[in-house]
Amino acid sequence: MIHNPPTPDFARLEKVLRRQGQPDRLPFVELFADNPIMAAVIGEPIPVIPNAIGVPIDYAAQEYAFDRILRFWLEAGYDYITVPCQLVFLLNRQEIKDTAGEQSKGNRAWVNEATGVIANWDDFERYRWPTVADLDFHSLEYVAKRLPEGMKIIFMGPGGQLENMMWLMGMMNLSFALREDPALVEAVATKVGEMLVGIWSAVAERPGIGAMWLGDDMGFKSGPLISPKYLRQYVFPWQKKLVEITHAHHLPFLLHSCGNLQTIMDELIDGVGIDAKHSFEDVILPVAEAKARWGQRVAILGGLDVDTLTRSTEDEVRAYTRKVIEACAPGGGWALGTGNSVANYIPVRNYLAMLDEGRQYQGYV
Amino acid sequence: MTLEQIFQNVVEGEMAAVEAGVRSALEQGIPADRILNEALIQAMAKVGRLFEEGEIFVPEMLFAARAMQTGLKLLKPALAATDVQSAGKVAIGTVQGDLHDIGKNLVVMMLEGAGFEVEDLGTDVPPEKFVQAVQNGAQVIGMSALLTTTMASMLKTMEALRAAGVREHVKVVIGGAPVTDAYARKIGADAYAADASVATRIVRQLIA
Ligand code: B12
Repeated sequence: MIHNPPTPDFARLEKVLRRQGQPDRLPFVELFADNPIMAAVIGEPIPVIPNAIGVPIDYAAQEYAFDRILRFWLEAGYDYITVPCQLVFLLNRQEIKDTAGEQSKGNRAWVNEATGVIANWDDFERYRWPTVADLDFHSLEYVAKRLPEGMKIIFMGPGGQLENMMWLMGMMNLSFALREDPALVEAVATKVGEMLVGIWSAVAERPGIGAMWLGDDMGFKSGPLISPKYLRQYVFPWQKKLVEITHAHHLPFLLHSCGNLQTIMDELIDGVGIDAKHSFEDVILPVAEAKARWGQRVAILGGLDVDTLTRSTEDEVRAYTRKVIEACAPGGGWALGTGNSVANYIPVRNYLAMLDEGRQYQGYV
Repeated sequence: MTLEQIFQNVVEGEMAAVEAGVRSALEQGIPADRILNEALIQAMAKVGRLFEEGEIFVPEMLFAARAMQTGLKLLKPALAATDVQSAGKVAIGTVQGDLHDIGKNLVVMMLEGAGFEVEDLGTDVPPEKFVQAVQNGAQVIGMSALLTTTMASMLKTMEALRAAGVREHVKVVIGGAPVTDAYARKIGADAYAADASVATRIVRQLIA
């Protein structure tokens, strides 16, 4: 199943991200894989090490976990490892039993959508807003030292501008505040944006970094979650700043954003200035169509539908993967991966079958 | 204030204006069912169309729904007195294992805005609770899920409805990010709706 020995080469992926033609072989791309998936691929458990701002970190345990996580990215055939930022903002979370069967994480954590931690100005004033000085970069430092030849780090932000606004306020509260208390929305947007800018500036210059990846879910099934008017006001300008910092360090900027974003793609490409777009669903727009529509202007990443990967047999996954590769790989500017993440409920054999089809692709030789 | 103005204020989500408008309409002696049907329900139908067409988004829909609910609350006593029938009884919940509720909430609001009597079963709803809702008289069950892994609870609920012998007495409609028409057919549900506005039309057809 697995390249033996692995031959990571970040230049291969970079060629895709910069749309400089066909790479030597089809690169793989993933924002992250859930812990039970990574563990199953390397055949060893990987401890989950809490990593949130202000919480003391057990460095030895963190290093132990990252040795294994690094092995996962290398052995599965990626040219990079994503290293996530610490959890930055305290959120209103709830947990219930995971439904993923044998690959269960025990509990599944959900963000409360009705109320967040900031509902009004009192909450805003009381909230302990973190600063960049509070951040711990040990994992980035450690992984940079351990990077195998050819591999680089893609830094993964702590959620995006809209996401953190939504999670801090709760989607319902944010919705009402957009109309009734725009000054509060503006204040939260500024706090979140300044923090993201601080993080981006601190990370982009670090050794081993090959690209910067912002996750900022802005859409759902039928369109953007909030109107483009508000996105232009509170979200795009901050995202653009992150792109500028990234580009000042000569790095590519990847955007992971779920949902139906067809009406704002032009603004994301030309206005915000993203280099690559990640996250696709077949029920919204199959990735092959996205590649045809925007592939001349932006790299298109992943896109194999999570629902299909979960509910199909291995043979069906292989046939589906081949079909998507045939549509998306020609000309380059695309890398193989899921439409969201390797969620723990995707059967591991299906995930590995997808990668295996990618390895067998002969279109670039 | 005219019914036309109440209609417009609901569409624009002007809660205070809707409240004042409904009060004054009642004082003028306009029958509650006319205010409901010609102002509130018509307005929410328009809101649904605007949402479907991508003219308005989740926040605007929440605003309109809140304004509508404020008006509806004022009408309730009068409606009860005049023995006006609701459009039907619907129970909706997010299935077991899943805590995502904005999508479900929007469907609840739109159905209320279309004149249905809606029981909101909440999130992480086990199959038995759906069965109970049918036993309590729900004519339609609505199930919502965010992820493929929790969507599987929809099938479990279908099985529980059959096992309890109530499947024949109820129509089932499903929705949520990964849910499709094909999945509805696969698990033997009666219908799928892609958004909260379409959901109201589908539910109306199911009961007709
Ligand atoms: C916001 C979001 C999140 C948030 C969830 C917030 C929370 N409460 O915890 C966060 C960022 C935390 C998240 C996490 C994850 N997510 Co997510 N997420 C989304 C996103 C972007 C939007 C969902 C949303 O808020 N919609 C807003 C509401 C208004 O829309 P809606 O729910 O669709 O409801 C409308 C209709 O569907 C319909 N409807 C809804 N219910 C019903 C019911 C009935 C009866 C009817 C008729 C109609 C109906 O009407 C509503 C209004 O029109 C979707 C993308 C998408 N396509 O939706 C991905 C998505 C749901 N996530 C996905 C994934 C994979 C995940 C993770 C598993 C990732 C991971 N590996 O960890 C985790 C799991 C979360 C967990 N709890 O463990 C995938 C699921 C794929 C799949 N098939 O399973 C999606 C589809 C994205 C993708 N690219 O594929 N996610």
